[in-house]
Amino acid sequence: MTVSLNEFSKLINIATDVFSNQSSLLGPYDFDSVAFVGDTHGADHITKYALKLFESGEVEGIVFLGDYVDRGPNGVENLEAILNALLSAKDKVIVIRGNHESPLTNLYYGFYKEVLKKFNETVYEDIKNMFSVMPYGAVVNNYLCVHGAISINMTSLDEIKNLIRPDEGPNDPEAFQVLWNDPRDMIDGYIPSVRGDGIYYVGRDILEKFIEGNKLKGIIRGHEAVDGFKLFLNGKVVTVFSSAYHGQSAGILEMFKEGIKMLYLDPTTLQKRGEIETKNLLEAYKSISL
Amino acid sequence: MPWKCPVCGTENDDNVLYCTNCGAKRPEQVSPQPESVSAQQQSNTSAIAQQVQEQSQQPEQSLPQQQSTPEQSAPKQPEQNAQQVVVPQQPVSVSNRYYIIFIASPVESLIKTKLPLDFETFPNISIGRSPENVIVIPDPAISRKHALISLENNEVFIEDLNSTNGTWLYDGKQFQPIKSKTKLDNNAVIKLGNSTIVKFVKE
Repeated sequence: MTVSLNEFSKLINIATDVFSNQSSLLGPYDFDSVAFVGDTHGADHITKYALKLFESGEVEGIVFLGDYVDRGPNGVENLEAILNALLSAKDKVIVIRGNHESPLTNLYYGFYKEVLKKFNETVYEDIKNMFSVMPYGAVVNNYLCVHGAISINMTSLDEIKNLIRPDEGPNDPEAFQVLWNDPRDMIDGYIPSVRGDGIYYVGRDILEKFIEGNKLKGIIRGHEAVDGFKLFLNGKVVTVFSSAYHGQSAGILEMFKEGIKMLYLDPTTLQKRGEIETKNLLEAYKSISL
Repeated sequence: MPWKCPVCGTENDDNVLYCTNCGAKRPEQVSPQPESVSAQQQSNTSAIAQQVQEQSQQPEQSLPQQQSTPEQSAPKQPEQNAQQVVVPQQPVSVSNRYYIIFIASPVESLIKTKLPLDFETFPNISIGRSPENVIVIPDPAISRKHALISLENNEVFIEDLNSTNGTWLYDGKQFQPIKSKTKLDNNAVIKLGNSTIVKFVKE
C-alpha cells in the first residue's frame, strides 16, 4: 500500500466536495470515444488497465458504473485510483454510485474491515459520507448509465436527476432501486427480486418505455457478475462486469463513433481472452446470441 | 410384390407384413405419409438440439443443460422407428412446445437460458438439485427432489415435492406457496427455493 492516511483522507474530502457539487444525474456527455467499466470490487489492477485506455488517449472519456469496494482486497487502492482520475479530469471521468458504496454492504462484504485494518474508523466515516453524495447516474452518448437499473415506477430521467442527496442507505426507495434492481427482457412488468425486499426485476415494457420516452439508445449498467458482458433487449440494455473475484472475464466496453469494442480480459493476468468489434450493440447482440 | 421398408430401406418379400430388418410395419400403399412424418420428427428433434446449442452461448455452461441434453435427446433415436409405424394413425397435430426460461439463478450463466420441457420423452419432469432429476438445477436452496411438472390433457401442472424452501407461484404481486398440484398458465413465473426463478412458456 502506498497511500498514507493523510493523503487518502484529503483525497476523500476533495472528492466529497466534487460529488456534492455534481447533479444526481450527470451529463449529458457526448464523447467521440468512451470506455465503460463495470463493477471492479477492489480489483484495482483492472481499474488501472481501464484508466490506461483513458490516459493513453485511446478513449476520450471513461465511465465507472459503481461497486468499487467490497469482495476484493484492494478497495482502498481502487478508490484511490478512481478518485484521482476523477480529480484530474472532472468532465471526462464519470464516477457513479453502486449498491456497494454504502454501509449496508460494506459491513458484510469486507470493505469496512479493510478500512479499519489499513486506516481507522474516522476514515470509514468520511468514506461513508462521500458515498452518500455520489451521483446515481449519467447520460453518456445517449445511454443512461446506472449501477442497477431504473426503478419500476420511473418514466423520466428527471426522476433520477431529482433524487435527493446525501442519502446514506440510500433510504429513498427510488434511489435504492436504481442501485439494486436488475433488468430482465423475458418478463413484462416487474417481479420481486431474490436479492431482497424492495428490489425488483424490471421487465421489457418498463425498460422500453423508459428508453423510448427519454429518447435514449439504451441503458449501460453493472451489478451482475456476468462473464464480461450480458446483453438484453437486442443490445439496448448492456451489463458490463469488470471484476476478478467471480473468476470469469473482466469486461470493458469501448464505444467509438464508428463502432464498439468489447474487451474480455483474464481477471488475473489481464491478457485479452477475446474481443468483439462490431458496428453497434445490436450487431453485438446478434453475434453473441448465435 | 416386394416392398422397400420406409424406415430402414431393406427390401422385403411380398409375403411379410413387417420388415425383416427393423420390424416396421409394411405400408398399406407406397404413400409419402410416413416420410413426411419422419421429416417432421427429425426437424423437431433438431430444433430441440438447436435450442440447447443456443443456450450454450456462454462458454462455461452449467450443469442442467449438460445433464439434461443427452437425457432428452438420446432416447429419441430408438423411439423414432417405433413411432413411425404408429404415428400415421394418430392425428399429426403440431403439439404445443413448452419451455422454462431462467429469470434468476445463483449460476449467472443460466439466466436467459430457455430449456425445453420434453413431455414426449418425460411425461413427468422432475426438477431438483440431485442428478437423477430430468432437470438438474445447481442451487443449494433447491431440494434434491424439489418439484414435478407434468402434462395432462394439454394442460401443464406443477407440484411441490415437499421441498425445504418451497415452490412458489407469482400472483402479480407476490409469490404464493404452491401447496397442491397447480395448473400453470402461459407466462407463469415460478420460484424454486429462494434464489431460482423461472418463467413457464407455451409456444
